[in-house]
Amino acid sequence: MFRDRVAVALLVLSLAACGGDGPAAPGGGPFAWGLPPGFPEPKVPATNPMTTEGVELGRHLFYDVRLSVNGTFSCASCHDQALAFTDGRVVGVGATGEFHPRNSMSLANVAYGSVLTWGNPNERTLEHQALTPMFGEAPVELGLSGREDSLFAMLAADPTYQELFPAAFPLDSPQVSLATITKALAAFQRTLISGNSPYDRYRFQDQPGAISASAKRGETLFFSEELECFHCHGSFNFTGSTDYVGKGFTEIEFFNTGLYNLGGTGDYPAPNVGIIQFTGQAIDMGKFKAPTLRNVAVTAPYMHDGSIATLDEVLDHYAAGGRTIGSGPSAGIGSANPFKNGFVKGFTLTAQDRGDLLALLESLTDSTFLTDRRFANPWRKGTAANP
Amino acid sequence: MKRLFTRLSVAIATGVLGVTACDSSESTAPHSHDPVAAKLFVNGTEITPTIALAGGQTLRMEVRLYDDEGNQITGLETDHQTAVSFTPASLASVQAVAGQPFQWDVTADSAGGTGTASVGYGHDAPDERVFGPFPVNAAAAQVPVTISFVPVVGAQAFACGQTYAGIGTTAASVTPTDFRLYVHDVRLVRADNSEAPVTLEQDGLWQYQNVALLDFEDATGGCGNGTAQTHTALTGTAAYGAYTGIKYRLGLPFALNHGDLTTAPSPLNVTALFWSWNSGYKFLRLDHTVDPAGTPSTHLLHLGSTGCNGATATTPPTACTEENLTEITLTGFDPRSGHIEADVAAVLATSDLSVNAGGPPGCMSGTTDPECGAIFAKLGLPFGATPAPVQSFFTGHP
Repeated sequence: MFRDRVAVALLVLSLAACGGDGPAAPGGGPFAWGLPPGFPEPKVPATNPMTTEGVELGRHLFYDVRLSVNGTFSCASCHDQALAFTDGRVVGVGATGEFHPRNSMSLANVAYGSVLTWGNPNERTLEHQALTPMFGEAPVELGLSGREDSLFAMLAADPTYQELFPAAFPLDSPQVSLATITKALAAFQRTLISGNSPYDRYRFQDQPGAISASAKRGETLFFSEELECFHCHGSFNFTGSTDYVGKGFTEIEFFNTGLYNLGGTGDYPAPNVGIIQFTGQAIDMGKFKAPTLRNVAVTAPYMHDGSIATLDEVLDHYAAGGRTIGSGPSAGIGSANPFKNGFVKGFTLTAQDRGDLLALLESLTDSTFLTDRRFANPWRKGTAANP
Repeated sequence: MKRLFTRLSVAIATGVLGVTACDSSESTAPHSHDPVAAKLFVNGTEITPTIALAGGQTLRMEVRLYDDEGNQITGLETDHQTAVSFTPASLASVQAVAGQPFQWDVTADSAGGTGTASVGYGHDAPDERVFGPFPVNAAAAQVPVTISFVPVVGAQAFACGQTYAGIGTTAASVTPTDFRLYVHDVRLVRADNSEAPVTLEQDGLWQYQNVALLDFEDATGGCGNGTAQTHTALTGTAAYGAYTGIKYRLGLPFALNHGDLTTAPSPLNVTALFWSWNSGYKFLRLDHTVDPAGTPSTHLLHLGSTGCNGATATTPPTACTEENLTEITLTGFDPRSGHIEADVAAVLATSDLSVNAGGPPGCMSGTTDPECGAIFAKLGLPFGATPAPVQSFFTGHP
């Protein structure tokens, strides 16, 4: 009898628990991250919960060239999966052929970015950031400024999107809007997680033989007080500006690495002057975000302006404690830049050290990430979205 | 007693416990009304051999009386009185319980202490018989405590964005770019040198277990790579009492110093304070730009463990040859009214900030870094063959 009463009580409890669930999240079931070992859960805005349907819509938008002024360009034009979502160019080129002043950043692990772009300390969410390539006018990237009505009409008329938008945003009205477009683009980008490189298998997956002895020596150099690399390229994501669920403090860092020193006053060539553009503080001249080093071997050229072609030359720059440019409009002794970060102090590398460091950096190339079909173009070749 | 036990056993077996236990034949059994022993109970459990009290907390105590055969005498409450008194009287205060002449509410003094309790008993007044003394041990109350730190640069308040002149042996001008440090194992010290541990509030952000991050930078001025939030006071609880000093350790305990940053709780997941699994965290990060001769350069002070034996930079070690933990002992500090100053100028007082004599600019705790000797001395750490002097980074103020 007593046991029966317990059973009744449990039944009541479980019924109450079921009754207490709210309506299903917009767009259906919860999203399964499938995170690599050692990777914490990314932070997601409460207004844009991850759903499989939202991610799928975002993937279609990301690869759709109709999201440009002339139907020739998509997000993927500057963010190519095979190059860890970079473009191999010195600087990006927009739909109208206009050059971007900056080198296209990798989107690998962008879900973990506490700050997103090279030099804007205020660009903190992927939802907001998506507006810049779509609608920015200086420079023109996708060139959609003033064209949102025709963009919405195109999306609303497309049979594929007529299924994808309601599935992803069943409660939104209108379903095709800047809010839903940017939310879906952000959701897709958050899935671009790279954590299965040989280094990850060595470090997090208990496979000590996954990287070479040379790469292991490179790891020791990378994390040493002689080279100081890890101060700015720390954490599992190889950049300090990293955030995730359970992180008490949001850390945001920008550094002047002595790449330029115009006139000996520390200046960087305009318009790439760093976060001084936003803060107005002299000490912020030339400060840019330290990007993740994941897949760095396939993201050449390097630096915010793509001004260093190879990883070998990047090592030269840091070994010299800053780059010296002998002549021309960018001439200057970068190592003497008064705003340079103290960690960029220079070091000496033997030929073996150099090879070891390169081996470490190459061990961060995640071939599964570069070829994962979930991140690839979903549009059939020869369609309007993928001509 | 044996008779009663048997009867109870039967009662339980027949499932009519309540009725049988109150059988009238028991209450009419002949027994003495003259108590020869008393026992004290709380919530039906005897408190013996020592009455354990907690400072500031109230317990409802009950006295039960026994005859010369050891049987409890019941039914006395209707025409008898009891009282409890403590020696020293300050040990606890007593409040009678209305309608319950054999019960009292006892509140131990916040300071705690040891002594005895006696129970008086009698008709009309509790003056005919005294039982006891019962030994009493009252723990001091755990009361909230706040330990305030004030960052200074000599006589001036510390602030990001300020430039301070006259620092070090060459009177350099410095502008801070970071000032954060970990402390742990905080203890308040009484005039007799006994110690009371501070239990840190677990706030999920600054304080974890017995570790706290003190953060004096606010991400303004040159401190732009820091965090806007600051933390200048430790909060927690400690035993009630008067204190004249404090002890704590600058740095992190070994067991917490070499974990995985990505899974560590705040404040152990700040990448700006992490070196690697091998070396652990920066116990103290005190960075400046320096302007000795018109051209700013940097001076970085990163204190942490060195000589750790991890197989690689990302493998946790089992030991470090130079753990570089400083025990800080401050006198002349009263947590109720005082504060602790952390003086940047004192740390750099014997350093020459105009040159980088070797290694990184400043001191990153390397055993061969020529700039570490002067700084380690100020932090109260040995360096090479030089033994540890008394630190001058922190001072206590009443």
